[in-house]
Amino acid sequence: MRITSHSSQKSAKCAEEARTRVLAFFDAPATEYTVVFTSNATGAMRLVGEAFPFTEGSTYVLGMDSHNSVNGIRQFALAKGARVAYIASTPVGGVDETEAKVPPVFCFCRAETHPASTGCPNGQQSPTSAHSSAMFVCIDGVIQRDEQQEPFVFDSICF
Amino acid sequence: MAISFYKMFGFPTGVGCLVAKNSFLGQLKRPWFAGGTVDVVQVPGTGFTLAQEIHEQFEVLSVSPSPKCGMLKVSRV
Repeated sequence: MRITSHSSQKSAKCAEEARTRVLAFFDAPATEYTVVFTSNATGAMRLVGEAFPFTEGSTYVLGMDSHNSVNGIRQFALAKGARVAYIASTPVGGVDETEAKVPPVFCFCRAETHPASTGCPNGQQSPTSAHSSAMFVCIDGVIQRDEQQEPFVFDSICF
Repeated sequence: MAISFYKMFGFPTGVGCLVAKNSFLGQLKRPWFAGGTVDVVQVPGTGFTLAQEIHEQFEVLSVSPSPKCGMLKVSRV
């Protein structure tokens, strides 16, 4: 801890409290998850994209209706020789799981409403099970909560 | 999960975050370092040590504290 000034200490305390509240909101245990503050979602995705160990055997999988910031991550994948695979989107958004029978290493899902409606590109609904098959899932979180929907289970959809 | 807070909570703008498993972050290899992402940098030389906290290793670009404080105000309501 290098912080010394009073204002820095106050700012650090504020940031730590915000970290704790973000984890609580997503039901993510602090022992397992980390919150990295960024300027926005694009910055968060860039952090992953530029540091992900893509190889020539990797596949970067994303939906055709992805945000441009998600599309842009393919530049990192291509630069390291990875394959880029797009999954067809449905007329109402999300991905068509039947189009997604590929062995991905890393993918972006777009979660606008509920993970069950978006699915996961390898045909598995749960990114947790996807993770067990050596696939990493990053959610572009644009979530609109609806009182009529089931609560979003955040702790099963992160990396 | 990558989020912009204003898209998730409606407020504040100018701040977002990456929520990720520690085990995943441990597999990432940062292409560079800057500011507080490292503790010690060898000069001249090529050595450096990463910051102790995982989030410190990734928070390259400083985010103004005011949006985070704004989020706290909202979440406390």
